[in-house]
Amino acid sequence: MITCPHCGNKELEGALFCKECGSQLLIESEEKKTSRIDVNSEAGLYPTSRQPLYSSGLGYAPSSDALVTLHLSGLDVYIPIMEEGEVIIGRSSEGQPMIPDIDLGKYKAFQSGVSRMHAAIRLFGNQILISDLGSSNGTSVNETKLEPYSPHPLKNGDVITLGRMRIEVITKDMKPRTNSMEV
Amino acid sequence: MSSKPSYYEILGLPKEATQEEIRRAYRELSLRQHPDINHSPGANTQFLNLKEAFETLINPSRRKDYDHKLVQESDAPILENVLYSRSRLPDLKEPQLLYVYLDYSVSSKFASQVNPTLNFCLVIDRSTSMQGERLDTVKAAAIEFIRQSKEDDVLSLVTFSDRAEVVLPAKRYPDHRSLEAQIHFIQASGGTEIYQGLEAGFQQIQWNQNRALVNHIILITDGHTYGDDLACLDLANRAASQGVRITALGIGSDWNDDFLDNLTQIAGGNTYYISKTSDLRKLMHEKFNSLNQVFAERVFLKLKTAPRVALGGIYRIQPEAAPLTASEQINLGTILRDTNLSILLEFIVQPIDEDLYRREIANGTVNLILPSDPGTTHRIPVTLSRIVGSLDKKEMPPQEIIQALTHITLYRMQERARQEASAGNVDEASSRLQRLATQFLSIGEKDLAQTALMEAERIQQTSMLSPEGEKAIKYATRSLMLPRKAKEVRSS
Repeated sequence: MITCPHCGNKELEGALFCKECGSQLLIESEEKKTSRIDVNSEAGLYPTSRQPLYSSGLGYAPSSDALVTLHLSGLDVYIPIMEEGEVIIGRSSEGQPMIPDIDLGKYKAFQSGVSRMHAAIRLFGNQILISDLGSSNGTSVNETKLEPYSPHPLKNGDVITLGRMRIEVITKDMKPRTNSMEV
Repeated sequence: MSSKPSYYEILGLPKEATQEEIRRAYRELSLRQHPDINHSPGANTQFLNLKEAFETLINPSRRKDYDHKLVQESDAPILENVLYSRSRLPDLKEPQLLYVYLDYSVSSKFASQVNPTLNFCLVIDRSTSMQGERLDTVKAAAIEFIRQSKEDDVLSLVTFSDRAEVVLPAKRYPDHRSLEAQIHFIQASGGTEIYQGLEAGFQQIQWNQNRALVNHIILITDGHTYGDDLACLDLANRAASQGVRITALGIGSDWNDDFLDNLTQIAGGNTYYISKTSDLRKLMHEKFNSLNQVFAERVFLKLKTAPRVALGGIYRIQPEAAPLTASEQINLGTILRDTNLSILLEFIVQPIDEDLYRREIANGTVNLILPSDPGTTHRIPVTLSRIVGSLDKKEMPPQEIIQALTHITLYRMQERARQEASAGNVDEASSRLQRLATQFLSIGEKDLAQTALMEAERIQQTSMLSPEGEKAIKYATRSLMLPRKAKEVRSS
């Protein structure tokens, strides 16, 4: 049996997609552990619940287990991404049933021009990709604007801009605040 | 197909046989066929052929040349390509899924053939609900369709409400323009009895039906049929056995999609949803082009699964994306010159106690005829098997399989949501639609995501899905299954 990392549904060995939530299961086959996604008390909540998957209210320092940490520039907020897969960044709004995996609603995301479903980050092996989900104000990486729906690789120290909100990317094994090194 | 058996056939092996298997087959066969043991006449030649087959296939570079030569020299009109989700079948103590992608294309030697001759019937619903813009658009589309057809195409047109009228009896018309007035005269009135129309249309097709023609019924309707659905399905079966395919175009939201899907699937065709009447002409135009690209008809898959293996699902990815129902003889429809026929199969493989080197999955044939050479029924063997062994962890399934499954998963999700909705499980259906919306967004289908979200909210309020939303999601998700190239062609 394979356990879907997104919704906990059990699928037969050899399955490539989760029947329940539609997520791809391929990338999970490398390691069989199915740890919970969150480090906080909201652990165990599924993406379909009316709670964001990644609690982002606490100003905790980057967790050493995180594969990637997103640091909201100018704020003492670090959002860890613990597992491979895809997360959607955006903001929740009242009356809207969908909640992005990472909800920036609390950080004046609306005023900063962040769309409800703004961008998706995909972690896959050593690769981190970001794609803009056709947001109103666009997504930039290091001031270069991305084409909607075309994935762009991210590395440690990259600065993502969603609308006007700036987010620094910190990858695993890297100390935060190291400045970007051009390769 | 060449009369001389290939080296693979001599050794009784699949084309993908490993070195180990070639060595093993040779050892076993040579024990039986060696002239020292086998004293029958011709034993010597037989053994020399076996030896030649072994020596060619066991040498990787000679085998490669031989494989290339096989393809080059093959006079088979249809080429087969098989992809598996896994290169090996892990030996597990639990059930597992294996996906197989079957792809059939026209050999380049045959690709330049001329357009086939059509024998088509347009079966048009003229019930009261069609009155006005709908019927006018249908008439215009029918006129265009007939104008495009060739002089030697056999054409007919039937209208129906609660009974059917033959407007144009089936024959070759020298002057297509002279028919237009009769089409303009069609008036709307009465109810919708699809069987009446289908039956009359099928009869028209049968006057001229033969294996050298592309025999096709196009049903255009906007309503529910009551009480005669079983008769319609029976007719679809008869049509399928005579090589007549049925395409259905459903206008608006009041027609019964499950019924038409079932009907057209039996008859090797597909159902299309027309939300805006303006889309009808484009769709009819596409349909006309694809009928003229037909290379093979009566394409049937007969497949028998191996012990402890079950077929979990079967989908046609292209040329017309649609779920198919597993049966003894699955109607795959047609093979076009410009688009491959691609099928995705899901197998559920249960563990077995035996220690096997290669495990059989399924065996069978794809049978088809070519209207350009109607005398022969071609049989393409389908032998699916996998070597048992552990997998390289980094192995990824072929892109074609991932692509197809991404969209099949979405299709299955919307089917589940619909089932939940009609069973009254409002919360389940609603949250499933929300998850579906998330997936639509992640593949860039904004409008579909919007529709799914609206339906998720609607079902919370009214406990029902809207007939428009339901159909829009179903048929849009289905057309997502088409590989990207085919989608671009369709939208251009």
